[in-house]
Amino acid sequence: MAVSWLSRLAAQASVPVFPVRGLHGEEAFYQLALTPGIELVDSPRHASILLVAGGVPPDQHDALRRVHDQLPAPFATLWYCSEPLAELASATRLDDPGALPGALMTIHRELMSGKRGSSPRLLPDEPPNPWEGLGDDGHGGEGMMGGVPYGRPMAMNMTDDLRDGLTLDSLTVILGPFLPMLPPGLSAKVTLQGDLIQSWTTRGAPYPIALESLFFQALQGPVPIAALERARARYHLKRLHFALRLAGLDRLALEALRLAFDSHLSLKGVAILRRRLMRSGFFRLTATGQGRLDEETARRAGGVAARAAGHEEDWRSEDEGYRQLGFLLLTQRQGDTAARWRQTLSEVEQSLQLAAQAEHEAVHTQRSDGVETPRGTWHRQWPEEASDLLDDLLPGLEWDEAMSTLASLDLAPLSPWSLEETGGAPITQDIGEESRA
Amino acid sequence: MILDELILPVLLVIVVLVVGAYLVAVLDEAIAGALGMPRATSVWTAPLAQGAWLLTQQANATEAPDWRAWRLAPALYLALAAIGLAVVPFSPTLIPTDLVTSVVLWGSVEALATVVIFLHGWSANTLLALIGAYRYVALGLSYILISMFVLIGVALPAESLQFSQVVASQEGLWNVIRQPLGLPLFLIVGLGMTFWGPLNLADSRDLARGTASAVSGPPRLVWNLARAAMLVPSAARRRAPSWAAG
Amino acid sequence: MDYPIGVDIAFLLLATLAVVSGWRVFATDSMVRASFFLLVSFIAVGVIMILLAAEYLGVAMFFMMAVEMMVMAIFMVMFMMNPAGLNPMMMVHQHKFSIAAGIAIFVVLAAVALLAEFPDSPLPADIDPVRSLGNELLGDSMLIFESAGIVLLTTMIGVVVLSSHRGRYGAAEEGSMPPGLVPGGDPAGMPEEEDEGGGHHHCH
Repeated sequence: MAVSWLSRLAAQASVPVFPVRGLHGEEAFYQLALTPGIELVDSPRHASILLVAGGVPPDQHDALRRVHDQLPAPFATLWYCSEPLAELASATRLDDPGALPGALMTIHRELMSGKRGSSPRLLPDEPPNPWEGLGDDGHGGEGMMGGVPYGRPMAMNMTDDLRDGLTLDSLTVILGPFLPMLPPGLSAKVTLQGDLIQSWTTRGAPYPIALESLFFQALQGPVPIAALERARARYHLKRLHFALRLAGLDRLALEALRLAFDSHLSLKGVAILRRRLMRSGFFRLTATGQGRLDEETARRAGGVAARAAGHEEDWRSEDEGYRQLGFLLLTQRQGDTAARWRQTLSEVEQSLQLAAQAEHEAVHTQRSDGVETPRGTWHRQWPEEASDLLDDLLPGLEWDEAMSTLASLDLAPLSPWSLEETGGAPITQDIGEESRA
Repeated sequence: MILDELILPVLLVIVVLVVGAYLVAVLDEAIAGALGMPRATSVWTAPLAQGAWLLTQQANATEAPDWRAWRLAPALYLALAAIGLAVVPFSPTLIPTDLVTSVVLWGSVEALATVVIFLHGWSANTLLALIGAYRYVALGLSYILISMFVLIGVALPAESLQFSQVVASQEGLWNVIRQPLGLPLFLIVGLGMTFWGPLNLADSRDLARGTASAVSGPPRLVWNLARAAMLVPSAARRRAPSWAAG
Repeated sequence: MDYPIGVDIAFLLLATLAVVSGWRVFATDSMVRASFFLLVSFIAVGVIMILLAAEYLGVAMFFMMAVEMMVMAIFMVMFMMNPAGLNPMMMVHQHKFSIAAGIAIFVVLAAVALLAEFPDSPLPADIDPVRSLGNELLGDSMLIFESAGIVLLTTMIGVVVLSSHRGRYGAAEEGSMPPGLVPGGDPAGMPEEEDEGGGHHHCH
């Protein structure tokens, strides 16, 4: 009796969901962040539902199994636009974005009432690393060395230290590909001392991101600049949402996301957001002068990162349509995290300004041999994937600086499919209407 | 005698702790709601539902944690909150324990809290919790320093290390006026010690909730409860002077 | 003497806790655990002090030892070749010497406890222990005590300033080089550069 009373109460809690962001799974993540009654949690241990949004490549199924088994019972899985693992063939699969919040709430209620059993464990309950400690105390037979207890060798690196001259307490771990702080798909082998990153070796590139189909259409023929620029602003606002959420500025993060999903996205809203961002201390505390890209690396990173480092690289200045609107190329000089976000905000504002103007004069793009995607120029070749530049950029940064640097960089490759093809956003209908108007 | 000196104070502390923690959680939800977070349930039931959900959940394991420390740390943190509350003077006659050195005892609660929070992160034997633990130690030591200056500032005019004396010394002039910096500094320390709101750096999002990232189920409930409960004595301590003159 | 039986029971329990956790310091296999077992032992002694009506000393013991053991644990982790202090490691070395030293110290302390003549002068019941302790400590040596306190505080602030990100000679990640003795000269106070091939290679 008492138990059923408890579970009835528990069923009223907001549904804690741990999202595994797979290939093209971003949109579901943004959609759920705005849904009342759903809480996107940061650790699989805090969730009752594992949401796998988007496909996961077969070579990462083992990592997915490890995440799956970290959820405490009772828990369930939901596969959104994704093929369930072979062992979980009976798990719920869903492809309709509109039904996602409802399905999550139903699953949580069923779990709590006992109608649905907990998802089975997929891996054997044994340590991932066999005990390889030597000697009585596991640390090794001779002196302090030898032995690999818990799969962790005793620290023996005598390389030059980056900060404090103490080289002995370093801890090496493998992060990703589903760590919520990293771009989806990115995995790396990282050596840390305390929270200082000593070395970073990128092992797996981030998943490709899908752009709205307008950017693809721009390579086929003229498209309305108003719609194209709105799409660009939306893309940047979603990235800003992620960075603000990571910085603990939940309210501003939601504001950025609401703007991104607002079909009447206006310059005024972004101006308010910018003012609040300035007041919140985001530029003083989170996006500080860390993560500075040198000239060559900034060029490789492309897009906002390149322009934030002073490269005057923007396909829009080649296009007659934009010239007609008086497009002015914006740049920053410093090339660090703060400069990248300042550049992003300015470009969002510029895009909306251009959009308003272009709508008024019904201007279309003129050249279709290239397009400036939010990720960089797409002319003859795609913006290249550049996650290996992290190997030189992140060492020497503290964890929070490294994470805010990562959030400010957009290094993922572009997907050959558009957002609409990958089960995309409901926002697209609005774009269609606007471009017809 | 036993009733007066042992059972009643203990009951008082437990009731204030539980009710206070619940109110802190409700307040937190209400603030989040006012700031525009999407919400579905009412602020009054949300903390209860969350607690019920954690009770139904299994407590998970990590690879080779320090079990004793890992399970004890949340409970010890809660115990420290209770000790902190036990020396708060609620009214001139209602003081659970009127220790002669209660000001120093509050200082040691802050110092021991640093130890307990570090243990909570360290003993899980996972990276993100460990970084959260390191982070809190670095911050906690500075919180203690600030807090010491504030405590010395209230102990000196009272010429006593006893909270009831500190309150009595404010009958003529409130400390808020005598030491305008004391109150804001102390509130900052209180938020920092419980890593609440903008000072949530030990259990922050860029660490997947830091020291709490590896716990689930009842231990996580105790941890959340303890954090909320620790805010209660921090807040109560400063509210105390208001009745002294009233 | 007139005190409740509870005090006796509490003393026995706390004394056992102090001894057992003191023993665990040497039997455990982790630096962090060892520090905190020592802390538990000290806390038990602190509570015994409160039972002995030394309220200030007891509570100050909690406070001092909590910070001290925390800092000690962190420093041990930093200086030992153990990944973040998470791997198990032996906390005892030089076994024969330590056993001999331990027995010798135990014998000396036990002899003091058994053979020494402790003063027996009951204090008045209304004495204020905190105030009398303060007078005892600071009565005659206030000036020395205060100046030592200020020196220590300045040292602490200086250490924090020197070791912070924004070091004395600029940001830590930019090298933080001291200026030269003459304008444009080599950084002052730096050790002589070793030839290539020296340095850390001898560790292999």
